[in-house]
Amino acid sequence: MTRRMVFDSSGFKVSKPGYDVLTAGPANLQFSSDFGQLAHFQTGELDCNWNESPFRTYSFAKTFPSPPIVHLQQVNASNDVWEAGAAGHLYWEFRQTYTDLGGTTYYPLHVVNAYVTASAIMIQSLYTDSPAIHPPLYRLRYTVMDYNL
Amino acid sequence: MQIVASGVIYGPSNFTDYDFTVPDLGFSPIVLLGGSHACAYSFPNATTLRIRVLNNAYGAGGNNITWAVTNQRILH
Repeated sequence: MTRRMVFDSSGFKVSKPGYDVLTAGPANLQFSSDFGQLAHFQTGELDCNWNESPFRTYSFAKTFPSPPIVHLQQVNASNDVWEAGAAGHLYWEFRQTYTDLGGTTYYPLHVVNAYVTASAIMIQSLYTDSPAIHPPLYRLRYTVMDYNL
Repeated sequence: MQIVASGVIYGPSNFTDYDFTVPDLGFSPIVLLGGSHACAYSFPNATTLRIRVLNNAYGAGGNNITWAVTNQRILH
């Protein structure tokens, strides 16, 4: 049987079925202690329904050597539907339709712009052309991954 | 999922390609990116990761990009 596992002074490795762990390259290893690991660091949700040009800063519990891997996801809090997700940088915008009693129709625009630095998530939330209604409650769900690169 | 190669693009420029040598995994792996830029990535050959920096969300330079190649293939 092919040698599938090695645990010695070089570390711990497991190869794919049919590959000798002592000669297998990175493509044929299922696990290697030489590879880096991702670890969950922080998760949370932030409301994004304000109207300000400056970015708001939400600091991590520590400063990373470089921007961490962060998964960002947009959540419509009114119906709990999860929408677009992205890593590191998320931008979304949507328009509503509103017709006032005088028959004038407005198309208020809401823009949320989020990005990640080594120490924080930065969020900008803007809505425009919205004289009578406020945007729906949107949230940003984030998951920060710690790592050893 | 593990990270087989990783690095940082220091002071990235918009609309610029950055190439990195990575292990040949025999498939297109999931690549994780961190930072304020919108980015795209491709593998022009088996051992080259190409990251195209598309734009900086904040409009300010100097915010580095972290990249990590995983050993997880994209499952269909």
